[in-house]
Amino acid sequence: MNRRDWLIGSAAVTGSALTVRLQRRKDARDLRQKRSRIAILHADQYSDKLDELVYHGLRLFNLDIRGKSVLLKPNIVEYIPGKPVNTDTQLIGAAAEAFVRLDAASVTVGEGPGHDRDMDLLLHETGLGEQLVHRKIAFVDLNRDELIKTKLQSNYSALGHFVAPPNGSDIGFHRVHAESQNPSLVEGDAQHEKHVWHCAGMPLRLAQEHSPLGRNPRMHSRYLRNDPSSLRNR
Amino acid sequence: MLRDRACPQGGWNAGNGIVFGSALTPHTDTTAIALLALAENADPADVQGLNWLRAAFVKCSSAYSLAWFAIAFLMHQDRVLDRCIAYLHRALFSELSISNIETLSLAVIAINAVEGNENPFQVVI
Repeated sequence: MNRRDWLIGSAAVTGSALTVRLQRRKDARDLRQKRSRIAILHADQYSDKLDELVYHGLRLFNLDIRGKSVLLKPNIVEYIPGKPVNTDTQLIGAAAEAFVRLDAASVTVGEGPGHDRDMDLLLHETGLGEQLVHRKIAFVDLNRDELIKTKLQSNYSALGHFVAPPNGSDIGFHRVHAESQNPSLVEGDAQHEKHVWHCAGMPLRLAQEHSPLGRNPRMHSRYLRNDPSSLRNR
Repeated sequence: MLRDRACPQGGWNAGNGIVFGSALTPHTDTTAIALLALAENADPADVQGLNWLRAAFVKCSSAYSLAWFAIAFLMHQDRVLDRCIAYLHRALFSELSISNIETLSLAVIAINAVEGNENPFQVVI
């Protein structure tokens, strides 16, 4: 390499680094509050009493849910009889119900398990299908349904983009998470996410990502599992 | 390698049959697909996998899984094939069926294959 090549190479590397840095600075809007607010609510067992508990827990935070489309992403991995490896479906149902009661324009539960790809079977085996039918909550199979990829407007996630149902994600991004039964993990998460509930050993973590998909005027009110027109989305 | 990765109770999970000393449970589609590859042999792992499928399909309500079951049973000319197809029809018309495109396509492939008694994945050269 001669001196000329070295200079050209150095300029290219410096230019690329500057571009990346500027790009990162532009995208990396930190919308997190300095202190996260946390509610720890006691529940003795999974039951329909969770409905009231989660609803009143949510109300403590004065969240602006009215007119928003909410996507709940639980953590359904696979079904192993007798082993609670998934978010309890009563907690998922209670969370969905709470957002409906808080005047969300729509509430959708979405899941795309990486292990067992048969979502229909998982809905049946875990009892989640029954919960959603009972509560008339829409479900989206994140492995198979039509999804759109949209750039995140915040940096809670390092992914940079968010993939969600086209008309079910006006939202903040809300998660019902099961894997962190370890209180220390809950504490750690509080730095990144806005609110943490701890219900019967299962934290309900809500990460508001400030409407990553923008406001969508279309309501996602169809109940996919019973509506033949839902085939258009599949 | 496929046989080496079989779950101890029979059938196949998405990857290894045992992880960190714990036996994993088999998955329906993975087991059926593995048995398609092993259709011409009769190793104990194949037999165990087929036994697991026979026990699993009677409890299964999902059209997606039942379609895979049916294809595997067809390839092994198994005695429970007709019953499995009946279950598949029932699942397809269930109110709770998700009926996504992948499930419907797979169900059509399975039903057509059983009616024609042909391997739907056979490559004709």
